[in-house]
Amino acid sequence: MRGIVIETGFVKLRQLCIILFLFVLVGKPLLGQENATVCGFIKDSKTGETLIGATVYVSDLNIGTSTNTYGYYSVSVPKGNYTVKFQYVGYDLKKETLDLTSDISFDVLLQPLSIDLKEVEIKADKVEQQHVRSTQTGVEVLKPSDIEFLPDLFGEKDIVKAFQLTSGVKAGTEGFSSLYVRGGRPDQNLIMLDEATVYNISHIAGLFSVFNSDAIKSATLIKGAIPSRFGGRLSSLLDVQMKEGNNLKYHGKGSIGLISSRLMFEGPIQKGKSSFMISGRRSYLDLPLLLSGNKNKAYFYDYNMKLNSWIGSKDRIFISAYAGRDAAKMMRMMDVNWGNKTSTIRWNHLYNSKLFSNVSFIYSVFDYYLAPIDSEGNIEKDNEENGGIGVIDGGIKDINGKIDFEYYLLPKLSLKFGGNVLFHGFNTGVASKVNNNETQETINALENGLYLSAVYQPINTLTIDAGLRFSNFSVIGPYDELSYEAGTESIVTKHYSAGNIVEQFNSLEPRLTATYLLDEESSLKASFSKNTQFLHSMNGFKFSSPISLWIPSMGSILPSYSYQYTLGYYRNLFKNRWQFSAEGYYKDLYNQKDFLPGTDVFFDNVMQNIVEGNGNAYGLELSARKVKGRFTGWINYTYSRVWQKTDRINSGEKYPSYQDRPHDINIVIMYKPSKRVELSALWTFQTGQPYNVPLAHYTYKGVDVPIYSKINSRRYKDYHRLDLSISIYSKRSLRPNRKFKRYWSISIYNVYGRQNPWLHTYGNKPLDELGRNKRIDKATFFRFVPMFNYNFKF
Amino acid sequence: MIKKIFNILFASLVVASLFSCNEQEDIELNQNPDFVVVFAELAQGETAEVELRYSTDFALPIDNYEDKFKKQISNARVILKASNGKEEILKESKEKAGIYYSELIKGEEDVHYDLIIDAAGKRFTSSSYIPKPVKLDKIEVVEDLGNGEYSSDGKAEVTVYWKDRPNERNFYMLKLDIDSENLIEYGKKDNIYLFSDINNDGNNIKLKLKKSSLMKMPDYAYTVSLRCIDEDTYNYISSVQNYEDNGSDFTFTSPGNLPTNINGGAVGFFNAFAVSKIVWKK
Repeated sequence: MRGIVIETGFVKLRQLCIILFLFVLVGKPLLGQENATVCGFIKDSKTGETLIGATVYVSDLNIGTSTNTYGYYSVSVPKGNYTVKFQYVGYDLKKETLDLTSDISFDVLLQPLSIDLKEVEIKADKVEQQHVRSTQTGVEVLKPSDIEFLPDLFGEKDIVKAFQLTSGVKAGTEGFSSLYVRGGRPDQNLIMLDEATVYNISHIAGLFSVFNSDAIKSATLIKGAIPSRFGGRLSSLLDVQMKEGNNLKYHGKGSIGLISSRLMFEGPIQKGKSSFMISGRRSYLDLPLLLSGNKNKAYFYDYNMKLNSWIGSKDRIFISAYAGRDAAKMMRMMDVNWGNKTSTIRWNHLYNSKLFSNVSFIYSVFDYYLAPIDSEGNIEKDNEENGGIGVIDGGIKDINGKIDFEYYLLPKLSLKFGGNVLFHGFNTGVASKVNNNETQETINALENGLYLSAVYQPINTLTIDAGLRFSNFSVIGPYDELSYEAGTESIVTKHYSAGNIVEQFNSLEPRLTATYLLDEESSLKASFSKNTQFLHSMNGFKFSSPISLWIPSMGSILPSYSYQYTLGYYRNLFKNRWQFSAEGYYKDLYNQKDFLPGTDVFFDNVMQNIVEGNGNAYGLELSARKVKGRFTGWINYTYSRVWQKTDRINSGEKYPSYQDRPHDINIVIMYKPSKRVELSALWTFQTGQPYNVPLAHYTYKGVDVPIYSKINSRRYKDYHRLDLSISIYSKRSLRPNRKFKRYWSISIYNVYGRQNPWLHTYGNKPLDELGRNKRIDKATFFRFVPMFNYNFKF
Repeated sequence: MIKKIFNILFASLVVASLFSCNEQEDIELNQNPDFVVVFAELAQGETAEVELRYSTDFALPIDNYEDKFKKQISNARVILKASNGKEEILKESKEKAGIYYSELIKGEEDVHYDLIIDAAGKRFTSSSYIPKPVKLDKIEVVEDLGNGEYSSDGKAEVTVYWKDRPNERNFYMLKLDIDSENLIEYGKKDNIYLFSDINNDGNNIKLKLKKSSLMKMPDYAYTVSLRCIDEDTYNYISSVQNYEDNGSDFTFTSPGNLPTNINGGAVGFFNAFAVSKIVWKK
């Protein structure tokens, strides 16, 4: 057993136990009081869909809560009559006077705000203060409606690209779907679709994400302290929930875009009880090729499906699935395809008004395939023997069982606890070359977790959310321990039978957030968290690539772990129409992966070339968001740095990581001058990406060896662009009772044609008069791209 | 209507594709002073050889495994000191500028060596150690040289046996020469095999070295050399092998300078080693 991770958490664990003990001590007298509980679901009145994160507030007692992922809430109060407010952003406030002399079940239907502009102005005063009161730091929540009218690339409203415009999140390379959160790398984000891990979120190597906005209900990105029920990643949690489906009436939505189209259909199976949602999307870049008889092809598709049904009044079942794939075939070059499949079955059960549970069975698989092909599309077997790449075929498969409980114990104390058992099957089939080592193809592992967290409000102005997660990771047999040595055949040094533990790691991860209300409109929040990561994607962290080789922690590849400290100030301004926040963070990062100099990050046997070092990341995020009115949008600025120190790189001196881009500004404005027209604009700026150019080179026995100065000492020129968009509804679409509505969207990406660098390569040119034959080629994508989209709803 | 929509969409796609572009920038010469490159070897039982030269500006070509702009460093002062008290100033070869060799000092097992170089106005130092040799036990060769006399589709598998010395970290470099000719360049993966005992401490080691593209020739001889090298040299050679497949395009190559045991700002390495050889003939 490897204890390296667990030891570092012990001091924090002891502190956490003391805090939890104090909670119980202080809370104990409250148990003696006579309480009543109101519980139920909060739903959209037009679709019947439950609302995630809607707030319930008993103003007489200054007690509140919010709905969970399934729209469920429960509030316990001393017996009496109270006015209870139910609120959700974009919906009318609902006030109810409830007789709470006994436990009651009370479902609430909230009315979406009318698109009548005058009404919007009036309702703006009543935007709830979740921004100020919530017990999470570094949270961004987006719904498809928030981004419906944003400018987009090639007509796809992409929720991942929208998150790239929020503070503390960077996009990486131009046009790509990667998320670099607070100095983390893309593989350090836990990205989940209905609880199933999505290992590769890219279509067309990253131009689109795999999330079809028509099929999404909401997406939450947590950059700060991740709740203890989630584990396994260092940087962030992106929790994407699919739509459940309108359970009151049939409804459809679609779009015809520049290179892809999509369609979504939803409706009740049994009105008010069960519903379905199905959506599909496909690109047609390959259509002209197909029509012209060309054998090359390039396309992607994805499908989402979800069913849900109530069984009685206490049980609800959800079944959801996703499948998506990209394929590209270029004759005489390569045949490459990759994709994810996920499926989730969930069972919600209400034991009583205070105890809610969810049991989930989750299957997720990501796989990729790449092969060199000849002019007829057949695999070129000679390629490998001639020293080129062979067939690359790998991926990862997850089977996960989990159970979560939410126990609303006291008016000011609620508990969450549960656990999961997660099986990983790694297929590490990486490129093989003549005389090179073969990597073991299949590795199995178990990642198990147990957690307990408590939300406690010791005084009206202070809320504490404290949690503890225990994670266990075991590599299990069958497994042959090989010696990985350059230039030799691998040797089996030890054989492990099926089920035997090859290697094991444990980790205790405290998570703590405290929110202190300064007044009704402002608060201070602080958080501390430890996160551990046992899985690593070795290809994806420098370049966006579909060939994301995921490998487990084992041998010399240790679990990565981090400590994050966050402090923030939050304030609502101008009658809650503006939300302002300033949040600073500091992270200590351990066992961060990098490659030995000279490693080809796509095709070398990367497991042999991984080196580890430590680092840190810190930053300040300033954000102002206007949430209501004719004008909505946000402006944010982030200053951030991320450093790494690795023994065998840069002479052991610290260097900026590849994701280090100190300055980041985003301005997003949406304006609705009339019922028919939506205007939007966004401007984004990022410091240029660091890169390296060799200063000199020499030959050693025929090998061209470069000499660099300091690592990442040069930067691409700064990145910035302006996008504009206008959406116009047809006149007939606004007629009352008109079922079919349509609108055109016209966008211009990169209006002023900035030549933002995409990739620098080293090219050869004919010798010039100085004898030079090398130059830097700077590739630029997407200068001034106009786009048109036809959208419809019925 | 639908046709109209598609016409607009595809016209837009064509327009969009026209706006991608490439910029090119020359890499300027003489951005930086030249780096001193040092390669020094001392084999057990043999004299030392040290090569000194300058690096080439990155904008200048290195083609066909030959550095046309190679600049040797002459008139340097190169001193070799052994832990057994021997000391010698190395002489520069009259035939090959920039090559320095010892006449008196020969590599001895279990001896530490210090190298001191005064060149290009700077002092560079390094040290290396010849460990006790590990003997090759035997080698076995299985050939499949094909039918045609001049065909190059012949293959061979050379199995090498030795016992690792226990309770110490050992690093090995195996060199396979066929017919005593360097048919494939030294430094290439096809000819050089690295091994460390990280998972094999004290074990009997059996390695299969595979060769391809062999021509059928009479009286083939296979020579396997087992060098006991230090960790610095092991790291250096393994990093060189990473660069080998990448040509001169370092776009997708993880950047960084190769590890070196030369102090003072030079690149390269000083490698003292013990060697054991077995020759196999039909």
